[in-house]
Amino acid sequence: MMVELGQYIPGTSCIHYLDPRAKLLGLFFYGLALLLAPTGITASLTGAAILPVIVLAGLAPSFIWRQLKPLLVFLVIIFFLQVALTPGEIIAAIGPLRITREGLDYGIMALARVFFLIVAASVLMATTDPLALADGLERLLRPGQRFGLPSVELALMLTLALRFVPTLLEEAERIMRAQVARGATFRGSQVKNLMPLIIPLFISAFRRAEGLAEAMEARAYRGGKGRTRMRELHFKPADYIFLLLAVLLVAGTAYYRLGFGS
Amino acid sequence: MEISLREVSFAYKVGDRPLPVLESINVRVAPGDFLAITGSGGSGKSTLAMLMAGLLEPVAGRVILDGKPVRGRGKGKTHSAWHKVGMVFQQPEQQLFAETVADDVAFGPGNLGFTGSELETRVEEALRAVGLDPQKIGGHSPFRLSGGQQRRVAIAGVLAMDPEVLILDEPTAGLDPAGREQVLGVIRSFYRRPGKAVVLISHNMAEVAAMARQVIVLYQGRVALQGTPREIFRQGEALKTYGLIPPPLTRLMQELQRRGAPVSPEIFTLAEARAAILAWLGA
Ligand SMILES: Nc1ncnc2c1ncn2[C@@H]1O[C@H](COP(=O)(O)OP(=O)(O)O)[C@@H](O)[C@H]1O
Ligand SMILES: [Mg+2]
Repeated sequence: MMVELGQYIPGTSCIHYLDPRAKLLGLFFYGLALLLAPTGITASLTGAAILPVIVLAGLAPSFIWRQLKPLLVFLVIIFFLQVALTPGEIIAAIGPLRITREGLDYGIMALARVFFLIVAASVLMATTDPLALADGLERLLRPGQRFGLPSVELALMLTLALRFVPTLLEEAERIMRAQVARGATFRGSQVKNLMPLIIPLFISAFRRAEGLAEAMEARAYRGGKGRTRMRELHFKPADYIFLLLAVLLVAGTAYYRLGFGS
Repeated sequence: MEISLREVSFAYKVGDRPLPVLESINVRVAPGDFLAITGSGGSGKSTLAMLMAGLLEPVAGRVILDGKPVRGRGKGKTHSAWHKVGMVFQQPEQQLFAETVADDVAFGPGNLGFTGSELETRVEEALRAVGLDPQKIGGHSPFRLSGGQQRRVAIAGVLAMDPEVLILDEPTAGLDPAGREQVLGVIRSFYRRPGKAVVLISHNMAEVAAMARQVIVLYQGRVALQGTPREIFRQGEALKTYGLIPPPLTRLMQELQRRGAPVSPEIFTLAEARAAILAWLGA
């Protein structure tokens, strides 16, 4: 398939077995730590905390690389913008471009933040069944129910959306082929050229949604209230350890941020 | 127009790995041919159809149009030859998109560069060929028609491109008996025109027996059996191993013969069966 971003790779590693809530919170803390890290070097060192997770998860470097590849241009732009636009002590100049010590540091910091966050997010997606992920998200958002946040419905929407992405891509491919057989080219950027693809795709998506709604109603689905679940989530010792490490990472970067490290 | 596949193999890409689907396939379709491709679900029929229509390219082997090796539709420079090959997909009504029936049917010939009255003529002829009245139905929204009518509009959309070879992937699947007969009628009248060829993908054995001149049975991506319907359905037992069963009439005659009646087991049509049974009872 053309879309590999956020792909789930079934496996049996200890990272796969972590509670999805622990992994989601872990990602949150990791992101927080990356934001708190005050310099390029500390951000890079903080980011490196993902490396043992990748090894434990048994993910190949080539997999991580494929996740990053589509975003490479974006990363390079972030880096150069920071380097070029930050004033400070000039350490090198290439033509009109002045590279400052501060700029270089900011560049590395911005790059490390975005880079490692993408890596961590793709590790999360790669090691967690999308359904479990939606489940975990629902549990984490549950306290929000008191303030009117429809956490169950949000999770259901997310689950269904994830479930139907591959189906819709397949459908799009099928319809595209059928229209190519009728001489369509799909060249050019005019929306009009895309109508033979978009309209059948929408019609089939609506039809699918209708069928799904009927099938769910036929099986007595009536919203989240009082619904029990087949897969109960339980925190295990490993989950606590994982979270503890993530919190320690935040504490460490916070320590540096507040200036105690220097 | 002659389509010929030589030692063609095909694999889908799933993730990084190739998933082999077809292996060393040889097929040839020339004017006047009526080829049926059959086989159980997942045996590769639709994939073969798409290769024959230039919508996929083989990973090995060659696709040859009128003696010239060609690449897929829209690839390379020899694409225009593919315009003579029309493909009706499985559930083609799902590709309808235009506001009116006439506009939808006009999409294909419009893409071929036809305009004005010539385009209109093509649309009207195609709609008539599928048994729909262009005056009555041409201005309707295709989405308000019945399932059988929608399918015939979709077939008209391909016929309007005036193909010489018509490939149909399970064109009667999911239709009611009347709709099924209408679609088969459309295929028959297309085939009766001079210089035309039909490739019919179907796992309805009665349909295959009644319509095709040549049959290919696919099994796990290979050609398992090849011959006339008579030669194929003679082999009731072999067919079963490929996940198929002969048409009901043939099975009836085979069963009668097994129980000692002097009838031929190679019978596919009602008329043949009637004659055979009358001859047996009369004797
Ligand atoms: N787009 C695709 N990507 C990956 N595998 C596919 C795709 N289309 C079909 N296949 C696989 O190829 C095999 C043959 O499919 P197909 O040609 O549709 O068979 P049939 O039409 O005889 O049912 C099946 O195993 C199917 O799962
Ligand atoms: Mg098929």
